[in-house]
Amino acid sequence: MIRRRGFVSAALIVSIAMFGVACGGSKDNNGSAPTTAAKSEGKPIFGGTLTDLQNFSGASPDHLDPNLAAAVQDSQPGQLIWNELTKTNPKTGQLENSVASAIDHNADFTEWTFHVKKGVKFSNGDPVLPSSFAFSWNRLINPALASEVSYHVTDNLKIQGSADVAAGKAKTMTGLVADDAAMTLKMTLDAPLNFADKIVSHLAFAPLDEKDVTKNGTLTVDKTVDYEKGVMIGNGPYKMLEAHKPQDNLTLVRNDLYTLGHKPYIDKIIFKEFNGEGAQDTSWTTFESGGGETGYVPSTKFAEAKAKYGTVNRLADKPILGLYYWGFNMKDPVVGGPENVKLRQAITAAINKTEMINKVYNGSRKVATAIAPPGIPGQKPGLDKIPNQDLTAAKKYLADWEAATGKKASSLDIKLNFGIGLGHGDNASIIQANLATIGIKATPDGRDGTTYFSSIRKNNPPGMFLRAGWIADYVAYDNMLFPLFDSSGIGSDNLTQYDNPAFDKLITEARAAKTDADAGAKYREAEDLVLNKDRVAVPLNWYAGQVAWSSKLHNVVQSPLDFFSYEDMWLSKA
Amino acid sequence: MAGYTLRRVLLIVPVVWGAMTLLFLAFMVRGNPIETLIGERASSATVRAQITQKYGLDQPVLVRYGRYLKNVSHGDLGRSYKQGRSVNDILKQTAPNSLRLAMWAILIEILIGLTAGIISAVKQYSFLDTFVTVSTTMLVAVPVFVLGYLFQYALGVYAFQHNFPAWMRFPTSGIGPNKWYLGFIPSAGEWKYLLLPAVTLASVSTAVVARMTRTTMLEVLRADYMRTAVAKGLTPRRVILKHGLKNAMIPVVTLIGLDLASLIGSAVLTESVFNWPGMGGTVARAAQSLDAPVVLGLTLVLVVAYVVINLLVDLSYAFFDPRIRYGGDAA
Amino acid sequence: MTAPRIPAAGGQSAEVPADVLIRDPQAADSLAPELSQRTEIWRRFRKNKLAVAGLAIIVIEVLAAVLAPVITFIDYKSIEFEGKLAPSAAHWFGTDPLGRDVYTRVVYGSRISLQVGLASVTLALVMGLAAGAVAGFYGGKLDGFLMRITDVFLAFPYILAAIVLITVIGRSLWTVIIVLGALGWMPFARLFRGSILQIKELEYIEAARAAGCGDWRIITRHILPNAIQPIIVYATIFVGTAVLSEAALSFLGVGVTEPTPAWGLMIAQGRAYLFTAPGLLFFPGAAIFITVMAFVFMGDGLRDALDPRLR
Repeated sequence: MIRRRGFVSAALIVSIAMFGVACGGSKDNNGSAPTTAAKSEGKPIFGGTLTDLQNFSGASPDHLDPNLAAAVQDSQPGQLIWNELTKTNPKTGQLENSVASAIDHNADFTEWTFHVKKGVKFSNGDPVLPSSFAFSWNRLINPALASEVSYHVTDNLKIQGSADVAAGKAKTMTGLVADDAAMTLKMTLDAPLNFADKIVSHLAFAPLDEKDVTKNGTLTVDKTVDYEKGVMIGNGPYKMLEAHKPQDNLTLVRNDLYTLGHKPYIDKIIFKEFNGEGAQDTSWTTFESGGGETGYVPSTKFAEAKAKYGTVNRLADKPILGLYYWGFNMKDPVVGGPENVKLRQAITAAINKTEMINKVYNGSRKVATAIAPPGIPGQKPGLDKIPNQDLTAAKKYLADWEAATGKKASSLDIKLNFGIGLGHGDNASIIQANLATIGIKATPDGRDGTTYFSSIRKNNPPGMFLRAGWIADYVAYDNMLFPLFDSSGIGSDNLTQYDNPAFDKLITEARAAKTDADAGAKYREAEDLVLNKDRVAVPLNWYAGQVAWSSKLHNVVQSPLDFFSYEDMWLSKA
Repeated sequence: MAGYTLRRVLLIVPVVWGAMTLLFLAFMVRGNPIETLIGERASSATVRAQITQKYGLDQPVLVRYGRYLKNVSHGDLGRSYKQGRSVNDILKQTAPNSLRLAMWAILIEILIGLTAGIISAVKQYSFLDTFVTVSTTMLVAVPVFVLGYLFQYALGVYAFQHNFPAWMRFPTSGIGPNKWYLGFIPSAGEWKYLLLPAVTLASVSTAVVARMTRTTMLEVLRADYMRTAVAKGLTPRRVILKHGLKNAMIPVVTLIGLDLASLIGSAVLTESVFNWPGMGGTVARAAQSLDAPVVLGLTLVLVVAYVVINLLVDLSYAFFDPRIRYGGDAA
Repeated sequence: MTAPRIPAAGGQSAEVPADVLIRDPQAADSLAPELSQRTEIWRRFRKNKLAVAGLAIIVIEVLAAVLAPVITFIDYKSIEFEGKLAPSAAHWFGTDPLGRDVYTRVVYGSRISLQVGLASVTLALVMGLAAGAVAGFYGGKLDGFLMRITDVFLAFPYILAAIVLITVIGRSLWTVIIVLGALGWMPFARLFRGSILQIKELEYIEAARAAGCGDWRIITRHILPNAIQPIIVYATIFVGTAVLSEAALSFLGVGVTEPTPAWGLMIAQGRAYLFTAPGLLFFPGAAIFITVMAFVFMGDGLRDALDPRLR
């Protein structure tokens, strides 16, 4: 998922599997209402208006339509406006049922049945039915919508017939059948997928009120219908008060027809939007001058903010599920290929991850010692055998590489590719200086921030040692590895162009595994291949929260997926 | 005069057309906007093909250019590649904000710049003159964003954290309630949001206006007709206000008029520092994501505004300086 | 940075050079300067203390830029120190967040700023003088066409046009230089054209023509020396403006890229530490401020020296 703010300006998916998948039969996630306010914060009070400065502190949203929203920040209001079949508990990271009352699947995870709760309503009073989901999912991959997140259906779930709809050859997927009388939604997949229930927790799978969406006409390739321009109708704890005011604010109010959880405490939420190069600084300044209840701490201010807000328990700085890494272009003649493993290991061992966190992120992140961050079931910290800088080892790797290949380290010039944006250039400068200490010359190659990833994907101009990063859509080990390193991701999110059949095979096996333990072992084996055998990437740091709040606000919980459950927050009267 | 006016109005057409064509070509150089259209995610060949067809990206440049011209002449500025929103909508939303900010900046500029310049010229070589000269030169050399930050910290953060009285505390970002009387007079809750960005935006041009007023006033004060006026026995005050000022106004009016035109578009830095939702920042961001329709559409409007205001300024010379009569070759 | 421009057809400019242009007719009627006149100009320039100070600062900066490796003691890329150290004997201006020496980077930064300022003014001068000469000397349809082109360029909002062009071409130091030059030639063209129109019909040009001098020779030998004064003044101030514009572009994220030690980039990076490490903003900010002031003062001094009637 895209994380637009902070130092990560690019599209990052990560998914985090919970291996709650039993062998066939029924999956009852037993969705209960979200945990109510923490006891320590006193008794919740109803009422008040929350002015949010943190969510859109970096930019106004590109999209708010659930079928279109791609960035974490763009999806946050949608998390409040819609509830999907399942949801991730913001505190525990566990999957729970939401609109689904029960979920069944066959033994090999290719057929899934979602039983939909009766009596759930949209905020306009219309019923939420299985067909509300089918309509939305077909719309999601409709080429006329050209959604950035349609890959969830076409590439991740691979619902039968989705390719035809995406190609414009059919209107609806053959593998998705909604039965409003029986209140079931049946889904047939092209390949086994043991965490399909997790994928449908994503905002892209929100139910839509067909009557409302099509009130201004039906979407076709020649005719654009801007559903998101007006007041969109959802089934979540909050609803839109008025049409979104781009570059100004988005205002939500409590949805009184909401029954899927407890009644939200705060009456009204105003998401203020900030734009431009210094947006985060402006947003933080606004928070510091009393302009709102929540503020996003720019990395540059983190140390100060931690001293000020961390000590009074008003700072969300727990780890979230995201990774910042630099990868090697495996097709590059200088650093790629099996003959250059030692060189890649030398570069890895030369980089000082701690210095980067201290100097660039002011301590707001944690040193990454594996690809999958803590919080992902099955992951293992310290899986990387070169967890941080080790100059002795680096020099030895380099000497081995020189001996084996007959090349000279002094003749190298490693290009450090990154998209321009605060922070990445600083990291490139640090890597440049680190590599200089073992006698390798490196040259930062800053490219335009908007087109950086497409240029790397198209390999034009090719990257050498390149910056990347990922954030989770749902809690699953799979997407920390599959999109980044599976050969099917080349030209897409596999920026390193890593192509190893052994890796691909392990992923396929993990996806069809019958137990969590089996799947976890396969994923760890795959990650070991990427890091220790082939040294495709250098995991640098894991993201953590960077949000502070005012003394008026209570029960602020940041989910591992970087979302806040505003419906659980409350404001003191003062 | 009528002939001249007509000629000048007609001259607007090639200028606007030329500006639009240049911009259009600039974006052609950068080629395929598909990345902007579908975001940063790589997409299937099918989606790419659909988008290519929908936006006619496979058509020859001339065809696309022709279609763009046609749409623009019908008042349709197209759709943002990045957000899918209509550019006309974006214009309707941002243009009033830009215009209001620029207008207030101009008012500040006139009030402070003119006063400082006149005092400086009339009291040449006095302490006040030196003060105005030095401070305006310094103001020109301070980057606008540094000034903006200082305002934010002093009147926003510091004032809030040290519990200054409410009237001394200013919001540091945004447009506030966005309520205006008669379209441009800020409502009670609004003026505090407006003041800091307006002063920041006005800073550089105020300095320039002051310098220029001083120079032209000095020139005018030495002109023969001024000596004549004094010889005729008019009081110095009357001479300065009636004759001096009016004649010194021509270049100053030019400057102020052009400032209005350029402040609407060039307030990027101020908009960025104060998160003011105006046109400049919108275009700057759209340019960085290669969102051609937004850049083309809004810039086109700014160009039109510039040439129109420019024309009005030129025509206003006739009012300030009766000696100027248009008719001959003024270009 | 707002950069007010010259009106489409009014013949008067805005921004700092406005006063230059307004006085243009008078400035141009002093004919071919002789040696004694140059001495006189220098004498008048010398009397203006601020202008001399400006010139001295510029000379010092050029020296610093050229001698940067000699007057600094470490690699400007080195990150070996702790971040955000306060100024001290070891680090005169402190260190930046990455642990680089700010003094070293400010000194090297003068290279970037002077390159941007001088190269872009050269480009603008060459383009502007060429266009102005052709338009003014040959007149007619060519003149009309060239003046419409200047109108078009003037009609673009300056900073926005710079951002658009830089993103389209791709970020680099040379892009910034080319774009600032390409968006700044119009005033030179107008100034030069105006001067030519006035001078062209004068007797000595006709005499030169009668003597069989070619167009090129007439323009370079007879017209340019007479029209050059306001152009020099404007060019001086243009350099200061270009330095500021570079800072603004870096601030907006479209200037030169890391790890180039450009002042604008250093300010953009230092702005977050206004309170924790004010030196990060102050030293490069002061460098820009002093440079721009130096060029403005020198421009003022030159103008007064070239046109004595005002003082």
